[in-house]
Amino acid sequence: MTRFNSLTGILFCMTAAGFMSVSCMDNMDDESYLGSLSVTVEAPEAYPDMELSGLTVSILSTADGVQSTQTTDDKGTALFEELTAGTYNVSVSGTYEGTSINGVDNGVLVESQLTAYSTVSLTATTVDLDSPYYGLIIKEVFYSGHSYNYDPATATMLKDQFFELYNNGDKAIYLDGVHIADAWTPATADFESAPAVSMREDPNLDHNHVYASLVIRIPGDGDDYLLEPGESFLVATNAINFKEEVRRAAEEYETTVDQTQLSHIIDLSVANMETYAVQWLQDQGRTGNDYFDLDNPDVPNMDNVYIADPYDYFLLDMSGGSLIVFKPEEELTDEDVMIYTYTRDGNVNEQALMKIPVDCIIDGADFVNNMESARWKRLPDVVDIGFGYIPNDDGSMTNFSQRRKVDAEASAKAGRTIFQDTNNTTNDFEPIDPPTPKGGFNY
Amino acid sequence: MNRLFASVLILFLTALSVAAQEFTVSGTVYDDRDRPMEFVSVVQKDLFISTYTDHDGNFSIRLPKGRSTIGISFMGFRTIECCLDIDSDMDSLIFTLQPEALNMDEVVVTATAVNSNKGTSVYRVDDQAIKQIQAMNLNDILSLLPGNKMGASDFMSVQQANLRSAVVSDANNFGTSVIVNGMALSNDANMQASNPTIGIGDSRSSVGGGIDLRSISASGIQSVEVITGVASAKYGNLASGTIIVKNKTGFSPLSISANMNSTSYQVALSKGFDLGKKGGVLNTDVSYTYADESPVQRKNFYQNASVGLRWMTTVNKKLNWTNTVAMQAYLGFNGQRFEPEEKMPSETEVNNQNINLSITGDMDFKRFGKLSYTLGGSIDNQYSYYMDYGTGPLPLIEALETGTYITGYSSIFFKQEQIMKGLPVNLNANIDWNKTMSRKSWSFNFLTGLQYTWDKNFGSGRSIVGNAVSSVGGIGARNATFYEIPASNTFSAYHETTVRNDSEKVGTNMRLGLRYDFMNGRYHLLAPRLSGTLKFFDQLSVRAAWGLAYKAPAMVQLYPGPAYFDYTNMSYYATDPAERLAIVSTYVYEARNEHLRPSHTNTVEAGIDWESRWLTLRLTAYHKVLKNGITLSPELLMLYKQNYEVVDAPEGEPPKVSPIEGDTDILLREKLVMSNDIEETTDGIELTLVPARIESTHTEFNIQGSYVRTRQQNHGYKLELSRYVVGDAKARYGVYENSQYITRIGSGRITAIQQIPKLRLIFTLSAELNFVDYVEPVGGSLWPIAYYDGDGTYHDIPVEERETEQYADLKREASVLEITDKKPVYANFHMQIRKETRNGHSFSLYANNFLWYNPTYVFKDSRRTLNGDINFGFSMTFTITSKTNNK
Repeated sequence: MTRFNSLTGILFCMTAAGFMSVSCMDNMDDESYLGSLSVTVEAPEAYPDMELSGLTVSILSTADGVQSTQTTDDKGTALFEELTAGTYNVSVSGTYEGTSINGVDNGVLVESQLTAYSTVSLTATTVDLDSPYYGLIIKEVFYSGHSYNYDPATATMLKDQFFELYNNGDKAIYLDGVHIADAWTPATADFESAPAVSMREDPNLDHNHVYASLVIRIPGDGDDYLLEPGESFLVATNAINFKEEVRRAAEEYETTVDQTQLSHIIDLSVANMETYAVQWLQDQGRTGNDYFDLDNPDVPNMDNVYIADPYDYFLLDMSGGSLIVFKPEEELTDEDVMIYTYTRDGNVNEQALMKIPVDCIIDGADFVNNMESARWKRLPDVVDIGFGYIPNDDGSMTNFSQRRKVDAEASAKAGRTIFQDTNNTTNDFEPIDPPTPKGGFNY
Repeated sequence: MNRLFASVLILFLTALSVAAQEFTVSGTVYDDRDRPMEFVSVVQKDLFISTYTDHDGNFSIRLPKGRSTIGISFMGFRTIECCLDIDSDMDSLIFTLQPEALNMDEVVVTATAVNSNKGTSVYRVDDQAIKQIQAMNLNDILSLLPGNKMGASDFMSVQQANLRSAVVSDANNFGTSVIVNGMALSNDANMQASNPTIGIGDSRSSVGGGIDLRSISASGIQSVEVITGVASAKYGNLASGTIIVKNKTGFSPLSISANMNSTSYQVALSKGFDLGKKGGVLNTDVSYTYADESPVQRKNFYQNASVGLRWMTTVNKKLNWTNTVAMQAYLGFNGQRFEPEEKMPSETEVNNQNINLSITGDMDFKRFGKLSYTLGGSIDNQYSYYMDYGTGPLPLIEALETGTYITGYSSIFFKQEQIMKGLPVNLNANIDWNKTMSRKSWSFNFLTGLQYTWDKNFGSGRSIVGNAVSSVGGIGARNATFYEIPASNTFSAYHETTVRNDSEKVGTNMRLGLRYDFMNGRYHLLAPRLSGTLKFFDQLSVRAAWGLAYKAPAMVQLYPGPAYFDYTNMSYYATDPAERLAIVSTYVYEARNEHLRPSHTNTVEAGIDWESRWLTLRLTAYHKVLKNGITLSPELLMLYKQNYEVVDAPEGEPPKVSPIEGDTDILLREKLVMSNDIEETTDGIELTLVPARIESTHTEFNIQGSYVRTRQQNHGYKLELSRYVVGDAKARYGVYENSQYITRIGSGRITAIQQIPKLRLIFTLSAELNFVDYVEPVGGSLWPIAYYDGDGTYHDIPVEERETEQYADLKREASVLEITDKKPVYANFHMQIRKETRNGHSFSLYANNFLWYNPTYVFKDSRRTLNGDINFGFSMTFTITSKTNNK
């Protein structure tokens, strides 16, 4: 019995020690754990004499997602004080003579009782008003899918991915031959096992290209698919009314459907076009994927150009797709394929990727897994200086879609929905749930 | 070879021609309270001469002239080994056995390399060692063998013995024979594989592999002998070692034990009843085991119940005819637990009910030798249920014949069920005759026997409901029947001559065995097994052994059943459900595997044993080659896909379709074919070193070491599809030579055993040291040696062209030829404490990785952790001696 008591004593002491260490943690809010961040902006090359005051500087703590905003003073500097020590993503935006100006500095380390300095070089977005594709933008991308938990409502999994293009400009655009690709990365989140080098930092790569694992194309002879200003073009993996399918399955198996789950499920039978790769992959002597890929005869199919995996289909990376819209000067061939070698988790891996020249990209939107994943950005700054992510549960399978914000001011001026396009996905897109195919034109 | 047979024949004839010089040795065995003991075994091990004591403790045994070591043993008692110099009849020998208890010196709690004058490696684990590690089943017991690791028992998946191999391979563990109470357990007619043409394995089913060791409860086990080297010619249908389990037989008090750790517990009872002078002894053991997946995950669980009954009687005293009827029943259950929130969850249930019945016995015809017999049988009632809600929409297809079918789609959510009902039945019989003769200092033993085993599965088979097109071109499974598959049978004959000369200066012991198997009515197999020992001055022994062994293909490998390739000709998933239609083709591939041959193992080993007052050392080196191991090898299959067009699409009904004439595509798929392509060459060294016990402090050390190197070769080819294709180009299939893989595992274990006899306490501390552990690919190329083009035409690639850019799409990933992990030298520590009371109750506590030591290392930029979590266990055993059982 005495021994039992001494054991209890030890346990008690350990518990007490535990409490004491917890109470030490409470002191984290003490001023001694706070630091400052001073951000200085540098004028873009195009406008060396640009006024540097009045620009919006946002900082985001990658630890807790807390955001704060300030405007630059006359010297182009913004000072953030009393910040919790940690890593911050800095983003600067503004306009100058009607052109949007952007700059970012990701992963700035703020240490306690010290002031960190960040210098942000601004770039001006160049817009080619004479381009036949002027105004063609990505309006929405749904890559995250649903997490399957044996409920009919979640059985859609990744079958209802889609993206939507929009004519933000004032001239009609022929979409025939416009390509869409998903830029590839060996990782999207900062896991311990992730490769040491990101593709954007890899000195062995040619950075005038973007590297994609999936490429599809809008068919047509040049005058088949006209997109009027203010119109959208929806491309679904499967043009299916998923809401209806789920309702029918629940009826068949006499089960109830989680109504919250069901509210996320969408109708994609309204799509302008769908992807279907089984037939094409079979013709190539490969296999395809009957599971995720169906053909609705009522909706025309996209042309397939390149799918890396023989068992795949047009599947966007569910933890962060990087979509680019481009028009190559020449047709892509196997000469444009490159084997990329990287080390992950102690294993050397290889991936066959299609090289896409940066200068033929019309629009791009870069999405990664979470706010700490800046290094897994795939697109160069000229295409997209920022990146988006889904804040909940590391993004994948959360029903969230990424949609461009509406530029209220411009919309009011134009009398129709104009989306914000500053070539900075950090500012331009927001995660929404449920996704809004052919919707969200809330001007 | 001829010379060998000639010498065997000469020895045999010499032996027969000499007059036997045998004497009768008789005596009585008493326990520590001077009560006569029944069924105590009295054995002259070298010559396989054995007998049991009768109800009055008396025994009589005929031994050749000269020195003989006889062992007198009974479960729960310390074995007496006694060296007799016989030159006349001896009688009235008195032996007193002492109960094995912690107040006695030198309790053995490790696996001991048996003093092997059989010339091959045998390890033995006894009752005390089983208690010390708190083994729940046979798999735990095997952790004591050199080269094996200790850890928490894993009940979630099948556990198989993997003897003397650096790699865990089905070819190796399928060939390990497990013999319980004289009867070899059979896994040959096990068919519980959901889709044998994809791969046979399933973590919950032992099909195509070795016996599931979880099914053999430790509670009834008296001792385990593991022959890792060359087994006697008596044992057949094996490729890698023999595990001989001896269950408890003999009068014993009621023992109740409870054994628990963080994930599992076991309760067990055992007792040996004395049924009087004529009635013999009846032993019973009952155990129940329950295990969860992990301390924090209770979704999957496993439980089993096992009942053993063994009735041993003396049928005829004059003939010294003892007979044992043994029955072992086992119920195993892998199940899942469901939470109320889980809506339509998947379900898996794997059930096994097994009954083994064996009748063994021997009759002593004195001068004419001894006759032993075993008649056995087992029935295994297997039930596997897999239910899953698949997600669609997918074209539904259940066609059993090759053809193109018009079908519909499943809903976005559908139910698929797979049920397998297997009923493997095994019957076996063995009879052998054993005769000893001697002349001067030479003695001879002749063992001749016949064996017959028969296996058949009477199960109804596999049935699948709700089958959809395998989405990524995989091979589908459909219904199959088991009872139509023919039975497999083996008829065997064996002979073994043991020649022995035991003198103080140089002792000789030789076994010359030959075994003939006639398997499945078509393989005639001859397996010689030879071994010999030379012993100098009773201290140094040199031994060598060589033998061949064969293992017949399992029934599931010979008759896997048809494989189904489904592919979509046309997908027409219209918005209106009434207008939907899918055109799907099925190709049925009937696997014919009668070409399969038995696997074949050639083992050579040599060793040195040194026994002195200060040190016992056993060193064995072996070389084992397993050939014709069965594996699945890829072959190219060409499928013809007819394309269809829509002729008319009326509203509200499926479209009218028709085949487009001349528009056919060739689909290339891989099918897997069973082949005898595996070759595994294992070289190894095993070492056991036991310094003399420090008597003053009752401390003992035991050092075991093992180094194994296995070279795995697959003589088949590998197929790989082009890594990329763009636009309308066609992919092709590269043909590659397989690389070889060399796995090296070197480990050692130092066990310190501290006994305090006065306190009846024993403490063991073992340090496991891992020196080497990695796999190295050798040879092989990233480039193909040939390719199949998009039409399935085969093209050889000339050697000089192989590594050129025109095959860039067929170059394999560089990592396939790289080492993927290389562990550093690291250690793991375990301890066990056991305390006994004066009444024989025992309490023990163990901790695996008790320092919770998880060293890490970095390999190719990634940090990895070694050793499992700390794992505690506790056990109690109560021995209840009731008055009525006291004689």
